[in-house]
Order: sequence, then structure tokens, then C-alpha cells
Amino acid sequence: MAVVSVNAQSKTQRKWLLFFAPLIGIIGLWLASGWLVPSNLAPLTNKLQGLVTTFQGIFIEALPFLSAGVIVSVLIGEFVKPQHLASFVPQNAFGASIFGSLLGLLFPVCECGAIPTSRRLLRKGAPAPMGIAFALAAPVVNPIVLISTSIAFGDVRWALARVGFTIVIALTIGLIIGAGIKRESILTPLSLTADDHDHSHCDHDHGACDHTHDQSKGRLAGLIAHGSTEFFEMAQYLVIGSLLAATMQTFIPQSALLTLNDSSIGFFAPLVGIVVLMLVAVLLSVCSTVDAFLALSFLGLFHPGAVMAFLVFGPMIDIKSTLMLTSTFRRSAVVAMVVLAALFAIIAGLISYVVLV
Amino acid sequence: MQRQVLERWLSIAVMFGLGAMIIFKWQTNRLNLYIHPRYTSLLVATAIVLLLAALGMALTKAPAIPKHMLALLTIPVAFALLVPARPLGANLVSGKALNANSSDNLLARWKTNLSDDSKSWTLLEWTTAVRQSDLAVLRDKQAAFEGFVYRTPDLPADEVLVGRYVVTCCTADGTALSLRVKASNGADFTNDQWVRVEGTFVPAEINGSIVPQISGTLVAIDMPSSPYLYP
Repeated sequence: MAVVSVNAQSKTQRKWLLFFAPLIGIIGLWLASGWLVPSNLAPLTNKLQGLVTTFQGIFIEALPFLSAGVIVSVLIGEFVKPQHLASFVPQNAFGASIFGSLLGLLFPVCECGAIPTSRRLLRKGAPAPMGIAFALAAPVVNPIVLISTSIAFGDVRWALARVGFTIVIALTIGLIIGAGIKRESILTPLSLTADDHDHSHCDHDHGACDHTHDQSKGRLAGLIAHGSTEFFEMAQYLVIGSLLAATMQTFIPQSALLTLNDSSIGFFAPLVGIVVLMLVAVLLSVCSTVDAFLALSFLGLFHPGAVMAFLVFGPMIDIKSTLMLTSTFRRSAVVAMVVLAALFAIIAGLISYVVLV
Repeated sequence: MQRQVLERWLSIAVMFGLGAMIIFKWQTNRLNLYIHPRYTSLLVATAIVLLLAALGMALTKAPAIPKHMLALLTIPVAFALLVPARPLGANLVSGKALNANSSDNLLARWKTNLSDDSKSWTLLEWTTAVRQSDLAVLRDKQAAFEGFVYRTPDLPADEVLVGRYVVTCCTADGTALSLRVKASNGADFTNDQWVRVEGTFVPAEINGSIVPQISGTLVAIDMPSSPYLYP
């Protein structure tokens, strides 16, 4: 009975959403376009145009990295077979977690790319702790981010500390959430669907390999079909995330957060700085491959511990990546990831505060 | 059947639209309203990949994309088509202004080297100079910098703020800088008009405190090809 009413409720909610979302969208678009908008609404038009500029900034900047992630994922789907994965991935939870948290060194993707790749690996039969550790660590533990962080800070120790904290946090969360639990209870149905179809039909002795041209064409068509579907699926979260981040930035002044930091004194001051910069990381939703340059500009405003928490937490959890995580992991698992990542990032920030000050 | 065909072509159109949007913004020199120029080539490459993907979808039997995803991905394309492209301007200054209490360290991090010729200083260099040196030392230094007009209700008619954003990666991290300008023709300008400030640095005394201010004239100009400053 309860199940039925919940379903009915979510169905009506969906109906309302389907009705109101486009309506709000169209009104918003009209106001932003400034076309025949009454002059007393002009300030709103101004704000909305600023919102659009901020949105396009986040969306356009993340697009190359999202596309790269989808390409990597599609290539894994095509060329990596479950038996390959089983042969070199440690099957115990600890080994799988370590493997997952280091795998990013081979796949230079940011958070938009790490999540489709993680899902693909899970569908290929990767252990759950490995999938979780990879999704959380890969945005930081990869060559591009190592280089950009070292360049931005002009000091390789910052890059190493960032990567070190991230590996430890990701593998710990991978173990806490992923070890000793049924895959069904943390993965979404789609990431449980085995992706083990074999594209090479040459194993059969039917002379199929003679039609190499037709076959490669069919293979390319498959790549395009998989790639485009996955691109749209991940990009939808990027759109929602960028819209939320741009809306918050337009209507909540950043200075409000910074003032909070300035006014905090005494024993809790380091903690306040850490939490404030972690909130800023979530709000800005900037790609991990470029956030080091941004973090640098915070170094004047905040203590190094807070900047480290920003560098560690931002790539794991922000608005768009949290939405993307729900495509791969069940909601309860995503909530656990967010809470644990926040806790551990605070600890990493406090350690850095003591060591780096 | 027909509906399926339509949805398939809509999917292709949205994919094509995303690629075309980037190429169009690049060609019309508008990509730098959104991102730091160092990412331009990366974006053009991405646009080519998206256009090729659209072509591939058209030529092969790629399936239609679910409708709600298409609807969401239409948003950036619709923004590009229907909303006039504008840089960050007076509209967001209140939300993105440099925080006065802690800006000194931030400016120091942006590592601005001040040349002797103050006429070559941008607004970023002026802001650094004002924050770092004694205002008396700067007195009578000549100014010639560009920015947009930003008015606040408390300013007299002949005084405006001339502002400009500093962008590190993309518009999401833009920080607004501004300097007070007293100009004989100040009353002629409205928010977001791009101007060139020509004058000298003359600190003003307002309500008993010394405030940095440029005294001179404003010349209306077109928006510079790169509206932001990159530290």
C-alpha cells in the first residue's frame, strides 16, 4: 500500500515538474533575451544575462573534458574485456580500492570524465570499491592535474600533498562503502548491467572476417551510438549543475561567504576557513583540471589548510559531479560519499593547516 | 515510426548545435566572454569532435536520445541563439566585487609588476598600486585605462565607478575591480558603457576619509576584444 502511494506521489510530482520546468524555462529565456521586456523588469534581465554568461563559462569550459571522458569510456567499452579486467584487478577490496584510486594516472580525466569511465569499468565487472575509489580519485590523481597544480603553485609539494590526500580519502571511502556489500545495494540498475558483448565476430569459423569493411563500419556505428548516448546522459547533469551554480553565483554574493571567513576568530578560525572554501568549491563547480589556478587566488584570502581542503574536496564533490554520481551509484551511496568526503577533506585541511602554516 | 525519425534528427540537430555554437562564438570572437583564451584551441578541437559526432550520427543508425536529455542540452544552444552575448558587467559587480578586507594578499598573488609609466597601467595595476602604496605618492600620476561604467546610487552625477573583471579560468571565477572616476562628462554615461579613462590620480576627501580617485574625462569606446583581465 505504502509503495503504491509513494509511486503515485512521485508520479504527480513528475507531472508537475514536466509542466512547470519548461514554463519557468521559457519565461526565464524571454526575460533574459530582453525582447519586449517591460522596462521595470530590466534589472532582472541584466541579472539573467549575467547568469547566462556564468553558465556558459562553466558549461563551455567543462565540455572538452566531458567529451574526453566519454571517448575514454567508449574506448574501454570497445577494447577492454571483462576477463582482461579480472586478470589484473586485485579481487580483494583493499587491493581493488588502491588500484581504483591510482588508475587515474592512466586515464587523464576530470570529474565529468571519471564518472562515465567508472560506470563503464563497473559494468565490465570491476569490484565496487575500485569503481568508487576511481570516481573520487581520478579527477585529481592524473598527470594533467599533477602538472597544472605544480605549475600554479610553483611548488611540487602542493601537487604531491593534494594527490596524496586524495588517494587516501578515495580508497578509504571505497573500502567503507564498497567492501563486503552486495553490488545491488549501491549501484544503479544500469551500472549493474553487464557490458560484456563481444564485438569481434572473428572467433566463429564462418568466414565473417572476410567482410572487414562492413564489420569495421558496423563497429564505428556502434562506437558513435554508445558515445552519443553517453555524452548526452552525462552532459544533462553538467547542464543542471552549471545552471544551479550560475544561479547561486548570481543571487548569493561570494563576498557573503568571504565575510564569514574574515569575521571568524579564535580556536575555530581554521575550521571556518576550511568549511567556507569547501562550500565555495561546491558552488563554483569548476573542473579539476583548471581549479588549481583558481585555488591560488584564494591563497591570499585563506590559510593553506583551507586551500588544500578546496583542492581535495572540490574535484570529488560539487554540484555537477554529485548529480553525475547518481547515474552510477544509488542515492544512499552518493549521500554516504558526500558526507564521508566532506569529513575527510576537513581532516586533510586541518592536517595541512598544522603542517603548512 | 515517423516520430522516431523526428526524434533521431532532433538528437543530431542538438549535437550539431552544440558544436556549431562553439565555432560560431569562436569565429565572432565571443569565446573570450566566457573562458580564458588559453582554452580556445581546446574548445575548437572539441567543437570539431562534436560536429563529427553529429555527422556520424546522421550517417549511421545511431538511436534517438531520450527526450529529457535533449531538452536539457537544448538550453545552452537556446541561450546562444536567444540571449544577447554579454560579458560580465555592472549587473554582477555587487556579487563579485573584490572583498576589501582581504584583497591585499590576493592582489599580491596576482603578481603584478608595476612599470614606471602609469599611463600603461590597466585597472588591475591601478588597483594594486592603490592598495600597496601611499596615495600621496601616486598623486598626479597620469591614468589611461579601459573599463565599463558602474554607478551606485550614492555617487554624485559626475562621478562613476569604472570596473573590469579579472578572470583566472572562466566567468565562474570572475572578480570585479573598480576605481572611482570624477569626470566632467561623467553624467553622460550609463551602466556598462565601455570607456577609456583619461586623467590624473587625485585622491578625494569624502566624509573625512581619503578615497582613491581619478580626475579627468571619459571617452566612450567599443568593448575591447578581450573584456577581462588575465593575471
